[in-house]
Amino acid sequence: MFQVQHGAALYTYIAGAAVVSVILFFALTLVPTKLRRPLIMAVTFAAGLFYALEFFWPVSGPESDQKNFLTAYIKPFSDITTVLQSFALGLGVYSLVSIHMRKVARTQSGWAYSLVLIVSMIVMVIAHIGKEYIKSPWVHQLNDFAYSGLMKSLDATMFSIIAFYIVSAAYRAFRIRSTEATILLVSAGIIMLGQVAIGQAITNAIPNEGLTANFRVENMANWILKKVNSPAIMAIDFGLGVGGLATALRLWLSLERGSYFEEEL
Amino acid sequence: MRIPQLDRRVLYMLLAIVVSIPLLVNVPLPPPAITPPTKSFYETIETVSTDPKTKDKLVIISCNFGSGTLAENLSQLEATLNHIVSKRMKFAIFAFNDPQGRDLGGSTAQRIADKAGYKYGKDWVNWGFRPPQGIQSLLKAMVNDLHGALGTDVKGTKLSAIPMMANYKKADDVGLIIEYAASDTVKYWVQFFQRAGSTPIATLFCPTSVMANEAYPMLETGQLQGMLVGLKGANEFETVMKRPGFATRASASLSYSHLLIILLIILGNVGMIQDRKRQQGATK
Repeated sequence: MFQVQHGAALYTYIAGAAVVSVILFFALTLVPTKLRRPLIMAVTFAAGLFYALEFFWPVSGPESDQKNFLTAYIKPFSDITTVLQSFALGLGVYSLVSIHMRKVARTQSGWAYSLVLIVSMIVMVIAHIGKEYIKSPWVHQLNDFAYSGLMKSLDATMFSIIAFYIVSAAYRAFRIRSTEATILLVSAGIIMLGQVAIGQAITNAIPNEGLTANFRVENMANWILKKVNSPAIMAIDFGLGVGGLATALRLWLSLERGSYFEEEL
Repeated sequence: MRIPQLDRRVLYMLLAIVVSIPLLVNVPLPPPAITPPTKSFYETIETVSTDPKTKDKLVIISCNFGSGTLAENLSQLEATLNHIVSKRMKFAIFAFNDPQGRDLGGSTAQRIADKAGYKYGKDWVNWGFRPPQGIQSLLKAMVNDLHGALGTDVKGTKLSAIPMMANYKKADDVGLIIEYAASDTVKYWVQFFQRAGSTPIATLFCPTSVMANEAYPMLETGQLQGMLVGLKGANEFETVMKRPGFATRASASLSYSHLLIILLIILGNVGMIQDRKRQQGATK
């Protein structure tokens, strides 16, 4: 339906889309307050209806390529979703920068952190986008330093700190204060031992065949994961699914109420 | 004897020692038991790579992880990708949850592919990163038209202009999906892609250990054909492949840190019981 454009045609399409978007946004600001909610409801309903109809409408064609009349529009819809998300990203960046710039300009408490955030953001944008388009080696060096050298290491460091909290929590909080806590502790111990080679070695002498295999720690751990954990996860997922369906229906039909849905537009 | 209260800094120091020593010096460790999810993971790759119906199909390597889970997910990726290239299967790197996945997956694939004599565009391709917000509709679009839905590869080349992609145009041309993730992103493949073609596509999952619990039901129902559970799974896979790598070395750290945690839980509880008895004695 919508063909990918290249060269001058691509830039013409981008410029055209930008102009149409600006006109559309301007037109939306002129919509009377009373009509804004019905308009949003109508757009939300139409967007949801597309996917519902595409999913439920009977398909035809060869077995390997079954389609209905809406299937061809999935890709353009996917692109529209991505474009809308990009607007949201742009708004987010604008909001973040304006808040922190104000903080720096007024030297409010913690302004130095705001400055670090803005500088880091600019450096990372220049380095990471620049490396795709600028051949100069300094951009690549900057990217290696900022992205590979700093960000990746800091990300890994932040995540690994959790291990230290787990150790502290295991020592201070994992106590056998009740029957439930004891069951939890025993099953956690079996799972932990069953997950690592040194734990598995404890029961290595037991043959891994026949009835005795059930007493090997890795098999006990596997049994707990498959026969105890799985049904519990399924039950939680089922509840989440039903809840998600109800929420999706409420959002689709604009029935949702709350701070984000009842404010004056 | 009364168990003393350990300061948290002592606990942190103990963990740091237990984790780092096995990474610096070789600490002997018995080989791990190969668990059923790892066994079926290995057997699925073997089956897909030998079955005449699937051996020439595309393998999607979905890298949805960042550097935070590098130790687990990258170990899994290295171990399994080595197996994939040893079977001369063609693969595509893809990321849709974490932009870092594109680079981490891409650079690892480049290194392994170069060693195996794979050529970019002929034997493997990097589809790059797509934003997670539109992934459901993108996967639905990919079912019937991989080229149109994805557009270009990571270098900006149209997929239709990449030689190997001439044979791979829709879901029916995909023989295997392997998801490497720090979250439950495999559900998108299961929900929107796995069974959308004429035949179900074998799907394997490489989650971090903490995320594995949520995926066990999908193993039970047959939606997943195998799973490597965190670093332990990567270690088991390296053992099966007889190709020790980082996961084998790091599994000693994992083993001893687990033992330390169990020991600390026991110490904490013994201390609690002692305190309780002392309080009861004082009351009497």
